[in-house]
Amino acid sequence: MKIKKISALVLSLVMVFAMSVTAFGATEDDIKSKLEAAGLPDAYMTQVEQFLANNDLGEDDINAIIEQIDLAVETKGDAKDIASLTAEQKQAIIGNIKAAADVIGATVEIDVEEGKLVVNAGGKTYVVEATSEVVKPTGVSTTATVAVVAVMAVGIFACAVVSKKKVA
Amino acid sequence: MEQKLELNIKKNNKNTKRRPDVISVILSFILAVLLAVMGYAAGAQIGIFRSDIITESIDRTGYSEKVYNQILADSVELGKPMMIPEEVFQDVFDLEKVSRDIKAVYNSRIANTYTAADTEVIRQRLKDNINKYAKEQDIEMGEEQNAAVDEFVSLIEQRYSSGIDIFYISYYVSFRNMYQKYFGILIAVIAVLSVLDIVITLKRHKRKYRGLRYITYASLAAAIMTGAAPAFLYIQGKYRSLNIKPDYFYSMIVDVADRSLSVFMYVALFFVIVSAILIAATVVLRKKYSAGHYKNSASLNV
Amino acid sequence: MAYVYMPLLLSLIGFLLVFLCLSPYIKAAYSVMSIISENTAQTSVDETEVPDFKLENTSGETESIPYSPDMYPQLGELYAQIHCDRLGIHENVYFGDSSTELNKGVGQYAGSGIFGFGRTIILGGHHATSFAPLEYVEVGDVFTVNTSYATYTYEVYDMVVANEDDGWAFGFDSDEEIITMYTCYPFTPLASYSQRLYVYARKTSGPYLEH
Repeated sequence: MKIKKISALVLSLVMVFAMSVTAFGATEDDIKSKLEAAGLPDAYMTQVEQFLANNDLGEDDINAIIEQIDLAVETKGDAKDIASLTAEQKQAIIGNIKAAADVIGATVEIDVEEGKLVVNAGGKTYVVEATSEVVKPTGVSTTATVAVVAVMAVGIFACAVVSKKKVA
Repeated sequence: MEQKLELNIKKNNKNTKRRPDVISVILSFILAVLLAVMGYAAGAQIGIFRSDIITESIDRTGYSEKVYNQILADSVELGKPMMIPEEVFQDVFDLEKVSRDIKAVYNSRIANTYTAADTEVIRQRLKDNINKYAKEQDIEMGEEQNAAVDEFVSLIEQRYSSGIDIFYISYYVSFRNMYQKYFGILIAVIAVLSVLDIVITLKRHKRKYRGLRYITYASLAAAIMTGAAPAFLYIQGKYRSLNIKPDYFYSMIVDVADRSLSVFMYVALFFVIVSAILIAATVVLRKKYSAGHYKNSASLNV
Repeated sequence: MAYVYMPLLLSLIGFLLVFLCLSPYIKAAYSVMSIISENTAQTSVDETEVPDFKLENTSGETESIPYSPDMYPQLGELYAQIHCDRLGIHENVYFGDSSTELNKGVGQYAGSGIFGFGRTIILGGHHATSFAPLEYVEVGDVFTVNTSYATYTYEVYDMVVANEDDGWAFGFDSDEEIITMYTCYPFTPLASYSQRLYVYARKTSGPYLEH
C-alpha cells in the first residue's frame, strides 16, 4: 500500500514534467498545456498551476527541468503502470524529481507513511497527496468509550467467575 | 468460663486486621470508574445538555436587553447614511419582542425545526415611521425613494434576525443532538453493570458489612473523580479569560459554563452523601454482627 | 483510614480510565470552545494579525483581479472565513487540514486551489463541530467566503454520500470553480465513519484571479 502511494506520487510527478519540450522558446504555458495533454490528473494540475503562478521560471530553469523530466521518462521506459516499475527505477525517478527541484532551489519531501509529497519553493508550500489521503478523518470516534465500558464489563464477569468461594 | 470467653474475644480481636481481598478491590475499582463515568454523563444531561440552561442564562445575564440595545444602535448607525434620525426607530421593536424572539428561535433550533423570527411587524412599523417622518419633513416619496426605503428596511430585518439568533448555537445544538441520546444509553448500560458489580461484591462476603465497605470506597472514589476536575476548572477559571465577543455573549457563555460545572460538583456531593449513608450502614451492620457473633460464641463456650 | 487511602488510590488510577472513556466528548467540547473563542491556547497564528477580511460584498464589482503570490497562504494560515446564515455556519478557514486546523475550524486541503483561482477547493470540517450544520444543508444554500483580497459566494447544487477514498467524489474534474465541503457521515455516534457527506457549491460571484 505504501509502495502504491509513493508510486502514484512518483508517476504523477513524472507526468508533471512528462513531455519532451523543445529546448528553445519553452514557456510555462507550454509546460501546462503539455501536461494537460499528457493526461495529468486534475488533482495535480491545481498544484502545477499554483506553482507556476507563484514563480517566474527563466528559460534556463525550464530547460534544466525538462532535461530531468526527459531522464525520468527514459527511466520509465515501456512501463505502462506503476506496478511495472522496479525499485531501482523508482529510486532513479525520485532522484530526477529532486534534481529538478534543486534547479529552482526547491526542496522535496516524500512521506511514504502518509502518502504525501511536499514541495517548498520560494517560501510557499505545495502539497500533493494520494487519493486515499485527500479526505481526512472528521468524525468523533467513540471507540475509547465503548472499549472502556466493555473492559469493565469483562472485568466484572471475570470476577464473578473467579469469585465462587465466599470470603469470610 | 469467663476467662475462656475473654481469651476468645482477644483471639478474635487479633484476627480483625486482615489483608484486603484482591477481587473485591478490583470490583471496587471497576465500580468507581463506572460510577464516575455515569456521574459525568448524568451531570451533562442535567447540566449542559438541559434544554433550558441557555434560556435561564439569557434571563440571568440580561442577554436580551443587551441584544436589544445592540440591534437598536446598529440600526441607528445603518440609518445615518440615509439621514434617518433615531426617533424613527422608536417603537419599531421592543425589549419584550426581542426577548420572546430570542427564546423562540433558540427553542426552534433545539427542536431541529428552525424558524426565523417574525420581522413582518418590524417591517411595517419601520416603514410607517419613515413615511411619517418624510411627511413631517415635506419629503416627496417617489419611486426611487420607496425602493431605497424598502432596501433599507430589509437590511434592518436582516440585522434583527441575525441579532436574535444566538452565535454558534447551531454547533451546540448539533453537539447536543449527537450525544444526548447516546449518553442516555451509556447511563443505562453503566447502571446495569454497576448493579451487577454491587451484587457480586456483596455475595462474595459472608459478612455483608465488609462488602459494603468496598462499595463505599468506590462511591468515595467516584465522588473524587466526578468533582475534582470540574472544581479545579471552576476555581481556576481559565475559561473566563477566553476572548469571546461580543461581551453579552461572553457573559452568557460563562454563566452556562459556571452552572454546568456546578452540576458536576453537585453530583460529586451526591456520591459523598451516598458514601456517608453506606458508612453508617456498615457501622450498624458490623455492630449487629459483632453482637450476634459474641452471643453465639458465648453460648458455644458454655 | 481505609476510607481515606482506598478511595484516593482508586481515583488516582481511575482518573486515567475515566478520561480515556470521555476523551471523544472532551475533545469535541474543546474544539467547539476553540471555534467560539478568538484566542486559543494552541493557535499557530497570532490572532492579532488576523487578516483584514473583506466583509462588504465587493463580489459584483469586478470580474477579475490580477493574481499576486502574496494571496497564496502559508500552511496553517488563517486565510478566509466562510459563512452560511441559514445553517448558522460562521467559520475560519485555515490553509491545511491537519488535526490542528480541523480543531480550530474548517481546514482546506492544501493540494486544492485557493478561492478565485478557478479550481476546485476542498474544505473539511468535523461533523460534531464546524461542519455539524451540514446535516441540514439543502440545494440552493448560499455560502459566502471572505478573504483579504475579495468576497466570493457559492451556491449548493448537489450533495452525495461516498467513501472517504472515492476520488470521483472530490470534484477535481469540475470545469468551473467549486467548493467541495466534506464531513464524516453519518451524524450520529457509534458509527464507523468510513463515509463522508460531500456538498458541492459552484461559484456565483467573486473576481477571478488572473494568472
